[in-house]
Amino acid sequence: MNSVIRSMRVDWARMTSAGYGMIAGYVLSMPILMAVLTLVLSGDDTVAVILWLYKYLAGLNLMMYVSFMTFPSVYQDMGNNADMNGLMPVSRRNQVLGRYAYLLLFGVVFVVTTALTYPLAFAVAGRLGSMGALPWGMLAALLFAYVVLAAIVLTLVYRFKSQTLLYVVVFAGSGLVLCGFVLAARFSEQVQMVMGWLGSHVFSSVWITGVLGVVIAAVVLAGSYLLSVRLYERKEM
Amino acid sequence: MTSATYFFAEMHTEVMMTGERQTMALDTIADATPLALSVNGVGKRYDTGFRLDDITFDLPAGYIMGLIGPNGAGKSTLIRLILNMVRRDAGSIEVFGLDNIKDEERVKEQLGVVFDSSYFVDVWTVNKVEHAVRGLYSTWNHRLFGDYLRRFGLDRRKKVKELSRGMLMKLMLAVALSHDARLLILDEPTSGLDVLARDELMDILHEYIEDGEHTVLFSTHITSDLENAADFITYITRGRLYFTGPKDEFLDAFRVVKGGLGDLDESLRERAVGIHRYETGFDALQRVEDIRDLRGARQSRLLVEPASIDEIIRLTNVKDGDKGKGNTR
Repeated sequence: MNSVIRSMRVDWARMTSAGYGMIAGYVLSMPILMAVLTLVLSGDDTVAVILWLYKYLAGLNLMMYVSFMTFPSVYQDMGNNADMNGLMPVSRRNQVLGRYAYLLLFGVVFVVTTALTYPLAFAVAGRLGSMGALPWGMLAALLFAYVVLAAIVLTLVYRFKSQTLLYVVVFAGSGLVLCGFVLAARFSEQVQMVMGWLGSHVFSSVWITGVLGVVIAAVVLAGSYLLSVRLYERKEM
Repeated sequence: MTSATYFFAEMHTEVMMTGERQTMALDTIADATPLALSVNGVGKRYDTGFRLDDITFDLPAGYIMGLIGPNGAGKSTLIRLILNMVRRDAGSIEVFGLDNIKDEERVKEQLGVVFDSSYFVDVWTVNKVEHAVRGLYSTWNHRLFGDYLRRFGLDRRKKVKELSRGMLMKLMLAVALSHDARLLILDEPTSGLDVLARDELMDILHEYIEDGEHTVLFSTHITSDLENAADFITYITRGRLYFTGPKDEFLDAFRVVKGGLGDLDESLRERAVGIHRYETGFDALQRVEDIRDLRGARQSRLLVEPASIDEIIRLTNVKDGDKGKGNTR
């Protein structure tokens, strides 16, 4: 455990190479954007605008948090910083474990900030009374998507250039989210029909859905970790 | 090393030389002090065709060993094998009695490393470097690191990319020396440094080993750095171990014979390890026992001088046409 924490400290130093402001910016971007856009766009249909904005920004935020998985490697690939991985008294397995610990940690931060942004938007718009319950189903789905995507990206980091992966996740991922929203708006009737069918036939039981989601995420996470260790232990520095 | 053996190894044959005096010297050292580093039969093969073959040597604690050889000999590869940064294909490596793979974390806690180029993130400040590394070692000494920064004139606010080559080497050295590393490994740390910086480094290394508890493995192709500093030499060329043992024995084993081109006869060629011809004459490297065979009028025309480390490396790496037959004995 001690050496996992040592590795996390080095990765934290890498991630904050450009200063703590960048990490803070990432974490606060969704709440700030949500507040600003709510103020700008709200009008007669404020609640609808908030709901739409929230889903869209949550999707973008998801891709940003997934891109966190590439950060330590982006800085590690600068110059000869990768040599530091070979010098430090941390085994390769524990170095990988440290990055998966960050995956889980950022997952918690992602869910908490996304959850808190919801009441923030309604408060900023002065419509706190219309908020209703937190969108727990959506938050759970976002967490599931984050764990699966982040686990896949983290394994790819041990195989491909991290700078390239960062661009793919941020730009292509954000582009896909935007396209998804545009298509959903364009074919809203069909989307609602599909969602309704899924809700009544596939995800009708919240408990079974939840357990299934946890099991699939755990399997993907475990498989990703084992593959990452295998790739990294075979790598020559 | 259980016995004192000096390997003069070339491509196809090994000649094992044991001398009573050498045996006593190295065995005495090995019995009296533990081994900081023990490399046994280590091999590494690359797809490019380059091979590091059967490298075996020991480094007793409290000494400085120079790891020498021409560019591309395999010195950096060997260091990366010791650090488990590349996978070895054969052999074993122990650092203070610990296997460098099975006990990797415990081994690396005792190592300090200086490479020929910085391994810190370019945009880190010197202060950030300390933040990054101090958590890695339970023995990190913040006050000592500060002392080294003052001694080396390193400003904590400066970024790594703003430091000169010499300052970067000093920063890596300050980091390596600030967690009480018992074995310091330096891979070509002096390339690109001026003579003053190199002298300063050698002074620091001597201070480092003064207490007998610390050991240095120093890889370089600038052999003048080792002439005064090294206690032991391990010489690698073309991926093979050519010699390992006390530096003085390495130098005493050879002489350089110089003469005019007309003096280069068959008997000299028979005995020479390597010959360098130039317009007005030649330099031939010979083993010291072969020098005694030079007699008479021919001897008066030849100049026989002690060989420097540079000359030994140069003349043992001549092209095939200039290789004397003494190289295959």
